[in-house]
Amino acid sequence: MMALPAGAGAEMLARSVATVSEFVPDCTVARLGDALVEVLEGRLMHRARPGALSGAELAMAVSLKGKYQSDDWSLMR
Amino acid sequence: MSDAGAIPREWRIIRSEAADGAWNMAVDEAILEAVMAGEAPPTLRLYTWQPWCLSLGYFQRAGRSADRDELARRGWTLVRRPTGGRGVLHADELTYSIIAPASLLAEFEGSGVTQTYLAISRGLAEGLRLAGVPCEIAPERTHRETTASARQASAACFDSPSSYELTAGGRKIVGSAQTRRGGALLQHGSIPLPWTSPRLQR
Repeated sequence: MMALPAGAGAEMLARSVATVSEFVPDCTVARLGDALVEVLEGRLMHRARPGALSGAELAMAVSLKGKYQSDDWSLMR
Repeated sequence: MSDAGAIPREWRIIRSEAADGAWNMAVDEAILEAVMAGEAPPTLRLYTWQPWCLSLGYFQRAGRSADRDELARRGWTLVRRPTGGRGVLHADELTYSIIAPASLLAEFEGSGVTQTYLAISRGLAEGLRLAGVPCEIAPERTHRETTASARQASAACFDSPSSYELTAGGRKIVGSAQTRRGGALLQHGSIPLPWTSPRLQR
């Protein structure tokens, strides 16, 4: 069950994974998000502004959630 | 929202509250559907996971790649992503998703999956560097390397970098996957903050 490693599996995976905290111990999700937004706004996005899901998107997400909760993965097709 | 054929160029940035895996994937797919239909602007979404969640790639088999009983015992959930790739344990991390018409990102490196992946990686790398992480972009892998790697691959996404994935200190720091639907792309990726090895041990 490599996706949920234990023992030697976890150690092997740990050796292959870098984390933000190794380099910036006090980094938070918010600070990392700010840095990504600042750069991506200038590099990928010509113009950007904070937003939220529309009502239609929310309704669609509600309807899609059941598919992702189901044990029957054939629903994903 | 948009005129026929016109691609909206103003992006939307959504910072979501922490949510469970099923909701996070449902929201990403809902945005993808809306962008595909021209009913939503290109979107950068940032989010976290609560409770922790193991996500598997679209083509992975749950029975082979995950221990559902062990996940349940730990209070973690399991979800299948709409994107490919391998398993990721979403713990203390920041996840990004970029959902946009593929043609909008094609102007940077090209329109292919690998090219848009590189364009996004360049932006993420610069953002990570701004945050203080000495980040590099893994070189493109040849078809032979990719095939050989796939044969030896474990079910875990973070055990080796693919073409243009981001590394720091020689190790993978962002695991990303992309899917396309109707001319729109969804790429999401996981950026771990602390390593959670002790909590992975049985």
